[in-house]
Order: sequence, then C-alpha cells, then structure tokens
Amino acid sequence: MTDQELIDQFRGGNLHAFNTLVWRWEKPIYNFILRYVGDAEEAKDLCQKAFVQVYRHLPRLRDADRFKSWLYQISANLCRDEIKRRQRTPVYSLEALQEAKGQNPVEVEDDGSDHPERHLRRVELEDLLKRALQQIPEEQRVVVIMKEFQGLKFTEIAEALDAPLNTVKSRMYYGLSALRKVLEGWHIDQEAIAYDL
Amino acid sequence: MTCDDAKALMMGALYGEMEEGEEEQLTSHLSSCQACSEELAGLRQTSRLLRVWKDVDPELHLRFIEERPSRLAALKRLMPLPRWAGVSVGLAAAALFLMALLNLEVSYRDGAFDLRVSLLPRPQTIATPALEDTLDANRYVTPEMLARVQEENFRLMQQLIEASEARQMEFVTTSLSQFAAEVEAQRQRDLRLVDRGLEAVQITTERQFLETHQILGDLIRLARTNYGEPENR
Repeated sequence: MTDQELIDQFRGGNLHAFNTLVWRWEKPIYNFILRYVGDAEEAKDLCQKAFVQVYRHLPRLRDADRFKSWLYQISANLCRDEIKRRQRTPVYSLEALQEAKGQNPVEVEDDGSDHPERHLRRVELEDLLKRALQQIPEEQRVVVIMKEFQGLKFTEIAEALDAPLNTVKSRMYYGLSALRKVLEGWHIDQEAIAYDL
Repeated sequence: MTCDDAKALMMGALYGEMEEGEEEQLTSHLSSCQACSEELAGLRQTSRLLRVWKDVDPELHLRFIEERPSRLAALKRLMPLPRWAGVSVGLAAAALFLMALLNLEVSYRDGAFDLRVSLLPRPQTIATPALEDTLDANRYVTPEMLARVQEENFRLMQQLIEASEARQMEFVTTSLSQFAAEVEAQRQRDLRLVDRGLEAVQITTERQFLETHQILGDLIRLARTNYGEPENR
C-alpha cells in the first residue's frame, strides 16, 4: 500500500493506517535526525515529536503526494530548533576542546614507515564521518544528509527546505567540498580504509 | 563554459539528475579542464566515503493508535484454554462433518430438490407414489432427471427474459410517444406566444405611427395659421 493510500485510509477514519505509516518511516526519519543533531537519545525524542506533529497536521495536508518532503520538512524544522536551543545553552565536551586545540581525532598507528597504514574499522569511520558532518555549516549539512543518506531528489529537498533548486545544488556542492577538505585534513581517504568501498 | 558554470552542473552529474543538454556541456568542459575533472573525481570519492555510514534501527516501535485486539484474541484472553483444547475441538468437528457426509441424502420431490443430512443413518422408508409423472420421490436423482430439470429451468428463464424485454420495449415506445407529443404541444404553445407577441408589437407600432401622423398634421396646420401659405417663387 502506498503512502497516499494509507493517508486516504487514515483520513477516511481508519486510524490504524497511521501506525503503518509510522512504522514505514520511523527508521529513515530517525537516521536523518541522528545525522543532523548527532545525538542518539535526542534523535529518538525528536523522532517521536516529528510523528506527533504529523498526526496532528496530516488531515490538513492538501497534497498527499507531498507527504515525503513534508515529513522531512517537519523533521528538519525540529532539528533546527533543537540546534538553536543548544546554542543558547552550550554544552562543552573534552573531546570538542581537544579538537579545537588542533589535535587530530584520528589516531594514527605509526609503524615507522613514511606512509603509515591506518586500518579503520567501520564503526570508527562512521564516528569520524559523524564528526566531519558536524563541522560543516548547518544549511549545507541538512542538504548533504537528505541527498546522500536519505536519497531524496534535489527537487524534493528544495520542497522540504522551501528553497530554490539551484540554491539546494549549490549548498550540496559546497557541503560536499567542505566535507572533502575535512576528511582530507584527517587523512581519511579510500586508501586509508582497509576494506573495499 | 566556465569553471563556475561547470561546478554548478557537477551535483547533477554526480547524482544523475541533469537536464537535457547539460551532460554534453559538462563532458565537453571536463575534457579540456584538468582541475574540474579532478574536483569532480574528488567529490565522487567523498560521496562514496559517506555511504559507509549505514542506517541504524532505532527500535522505537512507535504506536500512536492502540491496535484493536481481534475478537478471537479477546475471547482467548477471557477464557484461556490449553493448546490441546483447540486441536480436540478441531478433530471433533472434522469427525462430525465426516459422519454427516457419509449420511448425506439428496432427493427430488414435488419439483424441488431435498437435501437431508444426519449424523446417524436414517431408517429405510417405504416409497409412496406422490407424483403423476415418472419421478419417484424417494429414489435418488438420476442424471436424466437432472438434465430434464435443467432444461425446464432454462426454458422458464428464457420465457422470463423475453417477457421482460417485451415489457421494456413497450415502456420505451410509450415513453417516446408521450415525449414526442409533449414536445409538439410545447412547440405549438410557443408559436402561439410568438404570434401574440408579434401582433401586440404590430398594434403598438400602428398606434404610434397614427399618433405621430396626427402630431405632424397639427403642427403643419398651426404653422399655416401663424405664418400663412408659403409663397410660390
């Protein structure tokens, strides 16, 4: 059953269709929020809030075809508000302080050769990618996440963020370029990874 | 194409979302611009690196609407039964069904089929002739009898259909005639109205013409009285 059919059923009075919709979308939305805000517990909380908002406003959604971009719009707005709230009450971590001092978060195993080989496990690389993502500006980050991880089309991202298409592509370009610089600065590239990508 | 223009197209190229003609333009530029080629390759590699980061299952299992338990589930909760109870009931039902099937009787009597089911075999009864035709009420139905009944039913069905069609045709014909008569009557009424209307217009026009003629006549007489007859020059 498509999202549109579930929405029609929900509007027709079948409230259980909403559960099906939630179960279908909770994993992608949770992962989107997790990558955006960077904290798992916060992501769970925001994910629930997102679906509460969807439940409240879904009867008023005019075009059911826009459900996907509308859902991401709600999630992105919640994430943005959360980040603003954090900026008002900043929390410092030792890790962040160390990185601010210029220490490379990547531990290098030095075997004495000119080109030390670093074998990164997947979980370490994911952690590094998560940190790298937090380094780039928020407006670029959200586009990179939506495109690279959630697989949205540029037109869908433009709809979700209520931004022109060229602006979205431009943010994606600069976001990806910024990530490339961050990862190159940490010497993370294809050669540094032990397994094939 | 400048490098800035090429950069604007790189994202479309990276994710296969290019407009018509853009791919050729970009390819043409990349073939002559090393820097842009390297940049695109670098961005592609970064994109591939990002894909290492897989989705995790949040295990939230959000539920907004409480699932209604089925009646069977509700009944099970009220009357918890051991598992073997269900199997026993099923076996008992199957046994009863089998017994009923073995003692199934189908007979034809008074123009209708008679189906009898019993758990125990019925005692044999003495046949009493009840029909004027060749059918025996207490004998089993033969294929010939079945064919005859089917034929009769088919014939009756055809008669019903023909009668229905005839009634429908009659209804349509009557309706059309009535409709035509009503249309003609309306047409006559409209023509009479138009006729009366034209007559009224004619009368009004004539009256106005006469009034105008009178006024002109009065004016001419008045002029003659005041100024006399015009001189012949």
